[in-house]
Amino acid sequence: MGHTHEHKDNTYYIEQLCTIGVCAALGIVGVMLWRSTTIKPGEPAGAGTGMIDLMLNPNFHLPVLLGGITLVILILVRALAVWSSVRQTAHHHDHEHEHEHDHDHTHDHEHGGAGCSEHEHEHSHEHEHAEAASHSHEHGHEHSAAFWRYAVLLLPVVLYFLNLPNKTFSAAYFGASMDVGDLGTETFAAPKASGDATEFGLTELKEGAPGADFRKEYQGKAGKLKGQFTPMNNRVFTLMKTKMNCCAADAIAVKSEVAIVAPQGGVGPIQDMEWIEVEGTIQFREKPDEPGAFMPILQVPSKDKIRKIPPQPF
Amino acid sequence: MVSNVPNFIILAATSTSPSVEQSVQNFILIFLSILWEALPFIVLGALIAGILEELVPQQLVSKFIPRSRTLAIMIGGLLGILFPMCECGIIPVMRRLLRKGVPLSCCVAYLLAGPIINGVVMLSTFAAFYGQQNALNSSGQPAYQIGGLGMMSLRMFFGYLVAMGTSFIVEWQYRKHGSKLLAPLAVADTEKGQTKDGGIGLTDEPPKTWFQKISNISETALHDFVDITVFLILGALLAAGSRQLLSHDTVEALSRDKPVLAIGMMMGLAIVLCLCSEADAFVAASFVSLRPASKLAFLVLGPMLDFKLFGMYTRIFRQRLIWTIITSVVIQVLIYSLIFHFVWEGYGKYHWWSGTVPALNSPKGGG
Repeated sequence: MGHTHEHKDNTYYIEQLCTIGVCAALGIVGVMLWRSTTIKPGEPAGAGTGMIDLMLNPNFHLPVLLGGITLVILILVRALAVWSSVRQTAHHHDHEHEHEHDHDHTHDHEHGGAGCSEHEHEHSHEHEHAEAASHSHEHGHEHSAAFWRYAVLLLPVVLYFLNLPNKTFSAAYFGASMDVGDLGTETFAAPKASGDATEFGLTELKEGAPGADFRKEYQGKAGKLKGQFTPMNNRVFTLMKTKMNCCAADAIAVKSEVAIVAPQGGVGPIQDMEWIEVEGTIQFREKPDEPGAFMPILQVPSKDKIRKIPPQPF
Repeated sequence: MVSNVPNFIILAATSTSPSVEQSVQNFILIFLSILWEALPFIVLGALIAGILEELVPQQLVSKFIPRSRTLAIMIGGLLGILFPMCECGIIPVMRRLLRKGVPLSCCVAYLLAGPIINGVVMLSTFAAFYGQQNALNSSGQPAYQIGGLGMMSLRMFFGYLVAMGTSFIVEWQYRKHGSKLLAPLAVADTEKGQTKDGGIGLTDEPPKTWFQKISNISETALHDFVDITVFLILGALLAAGSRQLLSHDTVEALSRDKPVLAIGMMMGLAIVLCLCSEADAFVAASFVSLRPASKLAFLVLGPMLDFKLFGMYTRIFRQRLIWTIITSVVIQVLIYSLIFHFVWEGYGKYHWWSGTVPALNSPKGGG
């Protein structure tokens, strides 16, 4: 490869330098992204708030690190090779003036020990040029349009240094709205629940609501739910939990489809998608948009029945 | 340092409205998540491609290809079991295999079936649909969905069928048009009049030093990485933009109670979402109200065709072959999904459904 340097034009070296620069930037950003995680050992996936935690499931953090390190190693090797190639170009130019008449040992060595006539010298350069053409000639096809590609490749690097993304999806992204009719607009006191609060799984009330026996058993009883806060209007909210299997693009939400009526004073300073535990009185009401189907409701009597909790495993 | 850099885009967006800011954040989050999930696998694929190009001689490759083209294609479709790679990582490897003289139709079979027929995807599909046969509809009646084992088997079967059908069409096209179907970088060295011996002394080339070999590997790997990542980025941008228009809930709302429309919409969603085949099963499973055939269409088409793959295909194939593959894949997925839908809804759910109607238990508590 090093023998072909006199046939390589400046475009080849510029392209190599651009490749090295851009790939180095991507590799370093990959490593820095890996370092941005805030998830501690034992915490569930949703607990992280670092940039990489917003984008990727923790199972994919290590591949990002390894990919970044591999890129850095590749560009170091490439940089060394390009530097070596440039040195040989400078060395070869120095010899060229002597080479017209002298076939010295150095040249014999460079050309594989063959008897170094002018013809053989040209032939070996053609052969090596043809060999290099599998890279540099094909690169040549793209040279005229190649440099726009480096601008595209720098986009994720630029976004990283702009601190983007810095927020996860909002509840609206998952389409959390439900038709709750006039729920929350009435002035009422939440009925006092009987018995101790039973803790339900996120979807248990929704799944049990179609059954008349289930409704009869739990109507008016105290119930407790955990999930991510999803406001619907200024008095009614619901809960969901989100899961990212590989990356944010595949994030799905499991929705409780329980309409939770906040007390008169509201819910307090709770952010969209924050994990909370809610306790209230269970009721069932026919859905306004689906006669015969029942919507579970949780009437919260006071603000102290809404508590922030750490992120839960899916 | 990062947190102190002014966030110009977001500052500009918040001066308009919070919903615009959130839309921009969503767009960037989806775009970068697709990119950074795929990037390590493209690095891996590019590295393997560099090693293949430099160290594996063409003569060695041709020893392992069966003489019968039909058998070679059928084996190509099953190679994902031995060499599981996601679709992004397969692209750079495939380009180098083509240069080594592996038949185009075999490479296409591996490209299409490999991301579906491999252990990781089989497991994730099984896990995603586990228990779904017992799902109930909003009236509390069985929804006649298909569970983990059934969905996994159907995905493998139809994925293989589509890959085989497309590969035989590609073989026919190749016999007509030859290497004109391929981008220059993918044309076999023998067709260009060049050979490489992988540096093991089978030709008259002087032996290369280890530094030269490693240097060549790094040059090839970085070249392939740059070449393919550009189109991954463009495809991911397109996917993130399309998600603003076509969401999970939109598809479900538009195609509820319209099963044939649902098949088409789910196929469109598969192209738009650009999900990896390890994760798309969980997304498909979340469409609880859609019929199994539409989810199957999503699962089979997604690993074969989406925006990012289309961009990467342009680095290996010319337009004629790209559109041949797209047309073949889309038509086959549509036809097989429709056939399956009518068979399942008309007969299968009454005779083959394996679910049970669960009793309404007391709450177990917890997540």
